[in-house]
Amino acid sequence: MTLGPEPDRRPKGAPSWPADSRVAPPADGLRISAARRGAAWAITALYREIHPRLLRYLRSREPHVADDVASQVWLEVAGGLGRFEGTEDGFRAWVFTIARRRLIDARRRAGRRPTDPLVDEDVAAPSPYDDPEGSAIATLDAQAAVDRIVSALTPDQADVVLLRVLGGLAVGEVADVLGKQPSAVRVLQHRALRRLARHFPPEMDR
Amino acid sequence: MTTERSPGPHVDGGAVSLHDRTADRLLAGTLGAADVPPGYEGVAALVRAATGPATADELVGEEAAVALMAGAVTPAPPAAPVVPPGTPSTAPPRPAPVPEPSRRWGGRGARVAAVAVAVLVGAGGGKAALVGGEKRPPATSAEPALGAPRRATVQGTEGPPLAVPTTTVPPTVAAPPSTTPPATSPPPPAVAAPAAPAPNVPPVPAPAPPPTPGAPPTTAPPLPEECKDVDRLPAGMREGLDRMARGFGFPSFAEMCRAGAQHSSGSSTGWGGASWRRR
Repeated sequence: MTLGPEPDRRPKGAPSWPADSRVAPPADGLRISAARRGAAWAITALYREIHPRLLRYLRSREPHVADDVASQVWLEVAGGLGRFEGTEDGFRAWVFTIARRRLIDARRRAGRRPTDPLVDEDVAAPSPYDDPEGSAIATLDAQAAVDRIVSALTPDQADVVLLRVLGGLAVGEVADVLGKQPSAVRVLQHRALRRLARHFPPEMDR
Repeated sequence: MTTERSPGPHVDGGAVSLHDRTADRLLAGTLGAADVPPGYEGVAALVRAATGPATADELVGEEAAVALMAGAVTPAPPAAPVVPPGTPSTAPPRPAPVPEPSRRWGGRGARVAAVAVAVLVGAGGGKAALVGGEKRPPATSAEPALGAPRRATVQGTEGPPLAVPTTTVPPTVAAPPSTTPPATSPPPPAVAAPAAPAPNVPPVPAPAPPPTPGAPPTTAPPLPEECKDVDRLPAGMREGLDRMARGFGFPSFAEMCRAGAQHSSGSSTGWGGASWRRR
């Protein structure tokens, strides 16, 4: 017996979940269980929710290979989705964990250092005031906002903030992904937030 | 889960130092505008912008990707679930590793046991086959434990039914009294006489050529190394094997081993002792 993709059993005209992930899904776990059986509607919903953030993360880290890495990530997810056990938060964390590993692989293959310009916290970050067009955060698109975060932080800090913001990972999950202690992740997170607050003062939020 | 790191916020370079819980909510985007600590409004706005709705550019190729994934989703196997990082393991504990048998007696015991099985089969089947199926070893106390040698009948196209000894089957395995051996059973040890098999009967190995009448008696082959090890077995194990051998009419297990070795080395079917010794 072969198990193919599950047909879309939603009633006709039922709306798909909005791409804006801030809208809570109607039932946590329902989409995961359906996606595990290959239901196209559930996979679509999860993909729409996670893929944009995944792309932002990858494009901010390795813009040249971001799309390729994203494809690898989803293929790997498809291979293990049937065995996945957990909630949607856990699923998102799993996807970003795979993404970071594939990102490291891509960097290794490329044989070059990551594109993060900063290696030391003391190095001055470029001032957002230097870019008049993007100075107002409220007008930034999502990728520009992610790029701003990355440009202001060290690589480790950026990893922590992006995995927490885009991936929705908890501190412990970030610690697992980065191979650090949770307390170290906390420290990086606090330093990153202070640094961001310093570089993006409240008056920019207009 | 989160712990308050300080009794209250304090100013640090223009921005207050955040509690862990506040920092978590700020990064998760669940902090209301009125709850954003002073100095972090820009950060909150950045987080909101970074987690904004998807653009059309970001969803290019969605249908193809979803179709690919839906087709690639594999049903869950019974084991090795994928769990997200940081999730406490709910999987059942791994079984304790099975200790390896003692090297001292493992190999030697295994060899002796292999010879014993070969002897048992030879005594129960091959021996009977060599004598034309007229003699069957007496039933012993070992049979209930090891399984009595089973005999199947091959209905040839001509002549009387031929006795075909089959392998020793443990009593827990219910083998059908059929001429078709189960797929997992070893091949039959020997056949009584060559015969054209019935159409539905699988081919059996060629029988051993009968000894030529008048030929000089061949000398007994040297004892295999396995039989020499019998004397070095632990006393308890040796007593048990001796009891079993006496049940088959041998004075001791060493004699039974010797007979089995002779039988195995003399068998041209090549499966008995030879195949066991290869292990």
